Amino acid sequence: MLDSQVESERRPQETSRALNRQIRRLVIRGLLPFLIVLGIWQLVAYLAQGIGLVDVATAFVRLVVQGDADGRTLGQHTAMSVYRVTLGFLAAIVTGVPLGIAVGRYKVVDAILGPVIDAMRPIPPIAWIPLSILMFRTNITGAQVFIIWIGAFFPILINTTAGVKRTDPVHLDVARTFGATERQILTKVVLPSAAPEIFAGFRIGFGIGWMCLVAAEMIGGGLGLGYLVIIAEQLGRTGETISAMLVIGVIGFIISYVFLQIERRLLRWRREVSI
Amino acid sequence: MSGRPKLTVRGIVKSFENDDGVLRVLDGISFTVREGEFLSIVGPSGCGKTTLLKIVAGLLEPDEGEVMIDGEVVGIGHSRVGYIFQQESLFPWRTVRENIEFGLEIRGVPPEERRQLSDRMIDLIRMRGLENHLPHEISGGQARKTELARSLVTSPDILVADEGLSNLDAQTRNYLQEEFLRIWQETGSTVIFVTHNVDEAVFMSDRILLLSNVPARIIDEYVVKIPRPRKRASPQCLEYRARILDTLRVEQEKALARQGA
Ligand SMILES: Nc1ncnc2c1ncn2[C@@H]1O[C@H](COP(=O)(O)OP(=O)(O)O)[C@@H](O)[C@H]1O
Ligand SMILES: [Mg+2]
Repeated sequence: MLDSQVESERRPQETSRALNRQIRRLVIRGLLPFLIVLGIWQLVAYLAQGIGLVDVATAFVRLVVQGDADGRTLGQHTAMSVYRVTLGFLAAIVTGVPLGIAVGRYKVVDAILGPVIDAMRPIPPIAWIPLSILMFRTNITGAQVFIIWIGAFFPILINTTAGVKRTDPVHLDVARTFGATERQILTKVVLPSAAPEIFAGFRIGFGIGWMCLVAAEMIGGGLGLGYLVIIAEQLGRTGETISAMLVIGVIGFIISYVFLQIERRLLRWRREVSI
Repeated sequence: MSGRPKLTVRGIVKSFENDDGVLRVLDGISFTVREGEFLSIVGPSGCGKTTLLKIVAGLLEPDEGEVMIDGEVVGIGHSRVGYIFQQESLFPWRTVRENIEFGLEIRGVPPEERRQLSDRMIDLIRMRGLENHLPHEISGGQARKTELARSLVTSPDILVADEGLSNLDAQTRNYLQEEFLRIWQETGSTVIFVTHNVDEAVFMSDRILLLSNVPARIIDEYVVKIPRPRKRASPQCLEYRARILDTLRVEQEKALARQGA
């Protein structure tokens, strides 16, 4: 917006140069990435099954309109996946943030739980699949949400802990000179000060939770993008597999973008402090 | 200045453990501040001035001795002292106004009353128009004034300022010294002002305490009997300055001799 205001005051020559720059930016940041993604998929699809982009597009449209072999549409699969990931993600927030605050703020908790966390963290979420099935038995959704929770939990926990530990001691002293209670110190000093890190944890946690989706839905459940990836391939419908993969990619991208925008806003005070 | 005793500090001793063992920082500090008095504490850096202020403010527990306000012994966390910290301490995510209102929020003052009180403070520090700025959008001097307002708005019994005007350019410092004095006179607060700048102490104080190197004791006391408003470079000011600097030089030589021995 500012750019265009300034541009209108420039001479024609400069305006056309600015226009050229805009076009170049559009080509480099929009068109080329899009073409490269298309190219990659063309190549992969060709190598895998000898099918082309047109086949994928046809499969995509059919999935949206008619649905898969069982008549379930792409929209239904997507909704189910988003539902599961949201549940796992919310569970990770509800558990990860309070625990992260406790570990970051209280030395005793850190001493006791720090090593436990460090030992659990390197285990990949996928490795939890067998145990999750044993734990949840017939409750497939429970097992799937559990896997996603594992994926999202650690980034949220680690970032919250780091953010809380970064609280400036002088800010804590300021609160104490006014007689703040521990609860007030947490809500008015520790949390706002750690908010940017906590939000970065949400973004990373959601990303990892989303990536665990395919693994989680491999267990079964009859619906979901991850389930669709596997089942369509087993039925020899490679076009549907690729369509589901593309939707997973696009949704992951959009959500991470939204998180990044929120984070930028939250970070404003801190970024400009460091300049 | 013949107010009744506001603050009494008696026999404060404080040691810290460090790598070389135990460092005795404060070695029996006692003094009294009268109501409405402007007391400065001058001492070499590292002598324990910040430690002393934190004990007075109830942020740190002394090993020995006690702090009394209005004749009543106060302990850790008493929150009757407004504190301007040595380092920058505004909350960077809060605007100027929100920073000023912080203590009122903690005390549970309702929003309308908070707003009235912070409005009064914004006028007192002459920062009308800047109240919605974030700390990174104001100057260092303005940040100092905002911290002063944040401390004063809850009407503390005593205001302590830890090198409040160091790290500012000379012009801003002179301006803020006068602002600080004006606000002190308008609010009638009792002030303990820590500085390592002798000129500043003479210009501002009713009384000056001189601290030695660690382990710190009070080595001298000066009642500054110069009428206000004062002039920085007046002969009287310069005379006090010369006397204090002499005492500090002798103390420094003693310290060096002790190290040599
Ligand atoms: N929490 C602490 N732990 C160990 N040593 C400390 C601590 N706080 C201060 N000190 C030491 O005590 C001495 C006095 O510190 P301080 O009160 O900050 O001095 P000043 O404010 O006069 O410069 C210094 O040598 C400092 O290193
Ligand atoms: Mg200090």
